[in-house]
Amino acid sequence: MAGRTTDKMINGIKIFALALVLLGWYGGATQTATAAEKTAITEAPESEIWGDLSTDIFGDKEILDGAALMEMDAPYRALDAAIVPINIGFKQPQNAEHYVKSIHLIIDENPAPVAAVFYPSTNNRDISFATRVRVDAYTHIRAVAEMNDGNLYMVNKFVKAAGGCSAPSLDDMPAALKRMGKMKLHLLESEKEDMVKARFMLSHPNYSGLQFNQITRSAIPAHYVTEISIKKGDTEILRLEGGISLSENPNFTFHYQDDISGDAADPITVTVVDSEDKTYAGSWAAELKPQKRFSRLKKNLTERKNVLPIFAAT
Amino acid sequence: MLGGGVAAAFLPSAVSRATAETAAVKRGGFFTSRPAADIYFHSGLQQLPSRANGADIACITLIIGDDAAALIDSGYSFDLGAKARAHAALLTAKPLKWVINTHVHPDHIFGNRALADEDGVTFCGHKNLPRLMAEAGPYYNARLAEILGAEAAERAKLVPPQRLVAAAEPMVIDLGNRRLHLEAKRLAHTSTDLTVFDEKSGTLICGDLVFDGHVPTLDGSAVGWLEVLAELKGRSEVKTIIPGHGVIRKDWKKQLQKVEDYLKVLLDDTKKLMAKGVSIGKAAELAAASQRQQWLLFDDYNPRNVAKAFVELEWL
Repeated sequence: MAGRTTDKMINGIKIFALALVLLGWYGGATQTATAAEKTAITEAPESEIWGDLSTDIFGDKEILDGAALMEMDAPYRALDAAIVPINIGFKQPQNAEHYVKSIHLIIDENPAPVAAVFYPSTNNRDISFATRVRVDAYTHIRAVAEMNDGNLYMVNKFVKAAGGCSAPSLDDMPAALKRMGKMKLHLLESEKEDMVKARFMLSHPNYSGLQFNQITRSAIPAHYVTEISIKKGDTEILRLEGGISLSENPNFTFHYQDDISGDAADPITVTVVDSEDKTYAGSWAAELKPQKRFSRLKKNLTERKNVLPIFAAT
Repeated sequence: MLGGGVAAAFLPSAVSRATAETAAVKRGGFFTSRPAADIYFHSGLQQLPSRANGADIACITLIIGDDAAALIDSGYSFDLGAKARAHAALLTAKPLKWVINTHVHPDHIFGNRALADEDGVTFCGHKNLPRLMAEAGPYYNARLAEILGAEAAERAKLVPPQRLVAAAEPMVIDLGNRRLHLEAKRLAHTSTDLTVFDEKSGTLICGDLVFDGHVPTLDGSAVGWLEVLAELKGRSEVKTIIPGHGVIRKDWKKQLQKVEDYLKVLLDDTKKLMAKGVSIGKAAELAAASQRQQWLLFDDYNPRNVAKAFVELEWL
């Protein structure tokens, strides 16, 4: 079924960007993982840097295995190091006794290892999400969830990619500049009853500040998204703090129950702040079609459904 | 061979020159084919660049006029540029006054330095080329070091064009009774695409706007690329085209059509998969699969082409 897009937008202040960041062509051909490579995935090299990183970010806190809580999907060999899709599927709904306060997305070998920190709503039935990141070198990518009881849980994958943070854009600047600040919200088909799966996209260079212009002999300044807040009505579904490791044109897939704000008719509002302190805002009507809800309800009466983790598509 | 050379000295000059040229081409030199009078062509290997193959994967063309010669693209390394220069000197005594880059990809520009000290040489390219060379240079150099080693990377300093061609203003250069038309294109294969048209023979050097054998690689806009190909197809004055990878073919329209078909299938498949909510990673495994048998190195480059098309379509 086709995703439904509503493009009603209220635009905030637009900014002027110097260039976009995208991977140049000769990153060397990336080959699909062979059978041998696939089995080797579990034999990824130990991270030398993780110990220090973990202390920097979480102090001396012990980090527990998060396999029962969540699952990460990441390509073993990235197609394009500047847009590596990462999916985190959560296996349990949030509830008052047991909820996830935050999720750190960490890329060990990146110049800015903390790609983003996600703060999901505490009553969301499904906090699975997906996004795209830049990967600068072969590295572990980790998701560390902090629970309301203070415990930390982690899952991780090893990804082979290189050069995502400093590779240049081969885009046509004028076209990209025209698009700067534009947002899209797509509603997608969700396998779960009464759940909405949505994808938010923002056109923004998310400049890493790590590219060097040989002509001007200076680094092209960083200009990246620092905060995104997604609300339905007055209820915040998801907030995140971002950095330069998020891909150009930040892209997020997330889930929520249709009545999370109490009224399915409440619009979705997204506010974005970037490192130049510019803000953008967008608003969309985002209601599940009545017949869709009805057909789901009908289905539930006739068959028992297993609650399976949803792996958000990027 | 020596006998042929000696005999040639006694023949009328035009014939002797033709014989000498043919001999040079036949000698298994760098330029192994002559698609038209005074146009020589080097076809790269249809392989991934490696130390073993010297990263010799892209096409290089030499055009000779009455007064000067032009080299179109210079190879992936200093050594390849030097080789092209040396073999050009075997084929003509005319000075190499022009080096034209069809686009910014490293397999077409890193040999520039080997030609930089030619007397009075001028480098030409798309208006966007200097900026992209400056931005992509360090990155491409790092990739070059990985493929050919640190020493080759050291010698491969980029030489940007002095003469720039803007999309709205084609440039004409005259090699002496031989006018070449340099035309900058909109965002297509890359943002730096430039074609060269030789009036005399009706030969259009397309750079990587046309791939033959080697699967096309998308680093700009699939939609834009299709627009440019449609424009090229409609040009009645073109008799031959020279691709950026692969060989020259008699039926150039068919050759060009193959690239169009690939891009159309790439866009259609990706669009359909996106509509079904398929993720970018999954789409990269599935889109354009029907084209796999048509191209070499398909599995090496198609997935990334899909990812690029996916992102392009997201913002259409």
